[in-house]
Amino acid sequence: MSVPMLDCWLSARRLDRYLDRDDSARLTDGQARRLEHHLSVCARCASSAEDRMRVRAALHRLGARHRPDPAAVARLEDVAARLRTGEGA
Amino acid sequence: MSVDQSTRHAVGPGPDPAAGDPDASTGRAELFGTYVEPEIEAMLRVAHRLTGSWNDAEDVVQDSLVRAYRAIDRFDGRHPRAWLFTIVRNTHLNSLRRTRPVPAEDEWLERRTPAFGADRAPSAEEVYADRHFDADVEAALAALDPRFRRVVLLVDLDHLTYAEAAEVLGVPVGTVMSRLSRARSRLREQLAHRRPGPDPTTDPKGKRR
Ligand SMILES: [Zn+2]
Repeated sequence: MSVPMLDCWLSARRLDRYLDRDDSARLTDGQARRLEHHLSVCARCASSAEDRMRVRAALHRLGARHRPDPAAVARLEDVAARLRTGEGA
Repeated sequence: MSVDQSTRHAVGPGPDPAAGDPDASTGRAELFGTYVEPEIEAMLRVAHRLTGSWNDAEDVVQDSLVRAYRAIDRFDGRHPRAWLFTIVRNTHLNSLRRTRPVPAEDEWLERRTPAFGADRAPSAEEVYADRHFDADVEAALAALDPRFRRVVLLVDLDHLTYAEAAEVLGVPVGTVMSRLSRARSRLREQLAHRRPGPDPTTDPKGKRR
């Protein structure tokens, strides 16, 4: 296999940033393209990307399942509305 | 219990900081409606991560709303969520000082109930495979050091940006990133033996324990 080791190393370092797309650490277009290309030719890194996405998806599901009680949110929205309208009266 | 009665009071009839100046009051109300009110659920989630209890979280958010309302005319309009989360964090720290000396360690899934917001309907096989994998993910999360776990909870479950998580935790963004990266790789290691397959009862020779 002719995949340069350097690309594997870079991919491992950049995969999370690639998936997160966070403003604090966004990959440049060039970095993203290079990574995408590498994933298309390197089975090992592609599988690592899949693992990460799988764990991510599970964490997202967990987050969706553990949402705050809507009644609590509603109470707080009520507090906020009373602050905003300057009432209480 | 951990509620500061004086702040609570300000929610009801009480001195309005903007009273007497109708224009300022209108502007304040508008900013509050624009920047603060849409983030109430996010504030509650963050407060829950900090306090470890939904009840305490609600108190913290209630106090935070009052503080945000008072401070909003000094807010520059940039990164409203980060600004709000900073208020939540400070409010939390204050309430700790007022009440108990020892912060509640986050019982982040204190009740493992399938809670209020289950919001999708996937296929039966999907549900089966996911549920098993998700249980493993929960266990792996629970096994993480709390410092690392908290970053994962804020970023991956609550969808905060790195910068927002940094505000909540009071650490630099770089620290959030390095903790996140370590936490996630720890999770992957723990879950390496668990690949979703057609038969989740077949347990491959387990890596680590
Ligand atoms: Zn590779």
